[in-house]
Amino acid sequence: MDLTQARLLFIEEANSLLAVMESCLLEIESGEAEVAEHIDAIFRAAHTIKGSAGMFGFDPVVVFTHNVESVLDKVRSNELEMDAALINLMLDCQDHMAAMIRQLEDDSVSIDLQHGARLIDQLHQYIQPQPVIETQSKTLLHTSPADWQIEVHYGEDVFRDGMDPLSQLNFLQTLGSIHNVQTHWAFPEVFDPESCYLQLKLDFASDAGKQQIEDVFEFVQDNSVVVITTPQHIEQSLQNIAPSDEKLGALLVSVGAVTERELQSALQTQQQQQQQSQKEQALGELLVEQGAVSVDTVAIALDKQKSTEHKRPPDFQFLKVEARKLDELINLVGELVTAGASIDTLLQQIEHEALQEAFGVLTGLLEQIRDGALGLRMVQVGESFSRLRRIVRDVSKELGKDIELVVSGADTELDKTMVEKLSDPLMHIVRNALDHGIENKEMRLYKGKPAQGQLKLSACHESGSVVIEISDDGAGLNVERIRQKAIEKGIIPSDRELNKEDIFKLIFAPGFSTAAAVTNLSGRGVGMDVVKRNIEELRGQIQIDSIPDKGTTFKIRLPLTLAIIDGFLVRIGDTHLVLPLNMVQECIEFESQNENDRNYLDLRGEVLPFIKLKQLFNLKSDAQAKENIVVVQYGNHKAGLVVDQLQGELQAVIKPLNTMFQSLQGIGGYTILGSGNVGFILDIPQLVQFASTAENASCHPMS
Amino acid sequence: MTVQLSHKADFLVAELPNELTIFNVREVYQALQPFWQSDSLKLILDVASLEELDSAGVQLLLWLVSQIHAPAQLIVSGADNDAFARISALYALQWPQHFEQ
Repeated sequence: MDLTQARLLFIEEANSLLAVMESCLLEIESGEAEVAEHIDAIFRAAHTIKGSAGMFGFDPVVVFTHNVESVLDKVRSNELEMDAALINLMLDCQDHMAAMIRQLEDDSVSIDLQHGARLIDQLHQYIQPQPVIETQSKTLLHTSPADWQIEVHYGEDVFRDGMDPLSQLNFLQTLGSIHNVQTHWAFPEVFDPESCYLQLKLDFASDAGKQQIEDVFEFVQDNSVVVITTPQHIEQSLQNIAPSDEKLGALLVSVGAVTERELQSALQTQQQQQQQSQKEQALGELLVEQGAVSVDTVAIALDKQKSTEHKRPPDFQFLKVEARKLDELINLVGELVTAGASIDTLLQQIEHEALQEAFGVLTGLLEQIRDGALGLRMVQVGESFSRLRRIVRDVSKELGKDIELVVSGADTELDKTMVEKLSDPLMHIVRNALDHGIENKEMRLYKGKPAQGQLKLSACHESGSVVIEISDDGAGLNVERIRQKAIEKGIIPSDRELNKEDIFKLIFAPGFSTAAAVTNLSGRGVGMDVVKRNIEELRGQIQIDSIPDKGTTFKIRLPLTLAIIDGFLVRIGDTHLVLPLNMVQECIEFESQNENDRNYLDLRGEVLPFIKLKQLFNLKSDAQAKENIVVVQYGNHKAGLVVDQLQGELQAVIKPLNTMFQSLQGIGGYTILGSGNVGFILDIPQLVQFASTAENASCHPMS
Repeated sequence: MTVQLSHKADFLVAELPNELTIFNVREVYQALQPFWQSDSLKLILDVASLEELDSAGVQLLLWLVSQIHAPAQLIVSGADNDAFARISALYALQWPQHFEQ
């Protein structure tokens, strides 16, 4: 490896460490994580950057980072408290370090040396000896009891279900000894002697595991609340285990601190919070709240995880591969898929069962290799989200607005190319939401809204696509103002009647801006057209939904990958067309009575607009050929595509259309079929939109 | 056999049957109504005959005790009965055994 390559590696590593540092600091600042959880990672990032920079002789980086590291070391040893001011300073230092690294990449980048000197002065104030600060956290901790503690609030139906708490007490006695039994009751005004109102609390000395104890209450679990608190000896066994790679939940289950049921219950709560867009609590926090485990036990388990992180050499966490090599591999896998399809075609011609069976196995493996190869390019969309976190923080400070960022689904995976290309559009949308969408505090209070604005970022998988939503609880889009502006700018004629959705789409027109003032953040009318173009380049779509004074939601729908898809092959005459399989809902026979002027049919009581692809693409086919409808769905929209013949599933390697044909509507690319023929890949979102718009236009001819 | 109610001197005594479980707890509850609704100030619950007792039975007794308010008093007699004593110990229950003067 030559020095240039090593230098590039250092820059890449430093950038990724700076990103870790930034996201950890932001999580501490927002209260999502405790200082103790992240301080080691932040310190390690600074320490590694300093060490590597020293090897290359980048002295200014070494000197500056050394000061940062010294302050972080004091936080680590509890000599300093990581308060808001220090977090701010650390984020400024992180910015300065990033600028220094950028300068190594690009000589034209200039560094504000005075700013750097000021930061070092501020760091020195922290480095001077200060009185040791007592951490408050200890008072919050509660330790585990000496024995198991069992608390059962029996459900009213326990007796009626044939269960008797006495038999549970008797059974417990066979596993250990019961102490300090406390029987409580909560009798209602109208007493029913067959209902159970009992509550039990007891200490239980036993070598039995938590699962074994929980099993005693198995038959009352469904309608009772059973809380089993782990004793100190479990904490000790957790302390004695070797550092582990396992997730927190799995780690706690493995030492018997938490049962599988308790873990599932906490995960379910977490999922519900996510679905209801509430602030998601950490798993450890939920387990403590459930009474399943003590704060101390969770802290020890987290520590075990952290120590693994610390001990695992960075090289073993990730393997750096040149992007070129990965692309080559994916291209080859694509060729393999095409070659496989052509063998499949040949095999269908010669009827040889054993050969077909053997090829079936090969095809299965081929699919796994394909998915594995594509998976190599998949990264979590959270990478883009974490950059936005910093933007939200800085921009809201600059604007003097109090804005909470709520992120969910950051672990949703997407092709790396897309995540990279998504960064800019997301940034534009977020900046716009912060600048124009969310009102200032006074206006929000005047409107009866909470003073703190909220910006939500979420990602999820939905019928083969990735959906990213950015929603704010701001003023919403002003339909009339957008329309007026579009008329003023000559984007639409003044007599054009448009529905709400179409008016929203006008903000994507080049040069459109309704912002009263141009700030240095947004309002120049550049951006939203670029946003739309960038997303469409990724074969994605963007939709807007906005309610006055409630807020605006941008919904971006993207395909999972850009390389290979599972397709459904259809034919019209001699033309082969491929539909992405995940968008195909069903196939039905097209009957002549379905013919009407409006191109829609009644699909089990549902209005289904359809498109005759033969007419749309002007294709020749046998007029007598029997026709079929393929029902496709994209987002909430459904449409039928009328074709001649249904030919079944295939794997299609997507090849982009030549630039000359890229303006073609309804065709997203092409693929080489096993027979050697070309198959055109249909752009279902465009076709579905076309079908819905055509039907709308025929219903509302004035619009 | 169900609950036997009798007046002895100025006490109202309820003798429980040999079984007090989910299977007869409603019947016993109904039979005990005159007992806990009476105006007697001194109530004795005799559990000496109990041979079979479960948690539903224990709960009925607890409820009964909770229904008697001063100046009325209730004591449990025959609490040294094996079945009753074992289960009371398991639940760590203390029953009133003496009238307060």
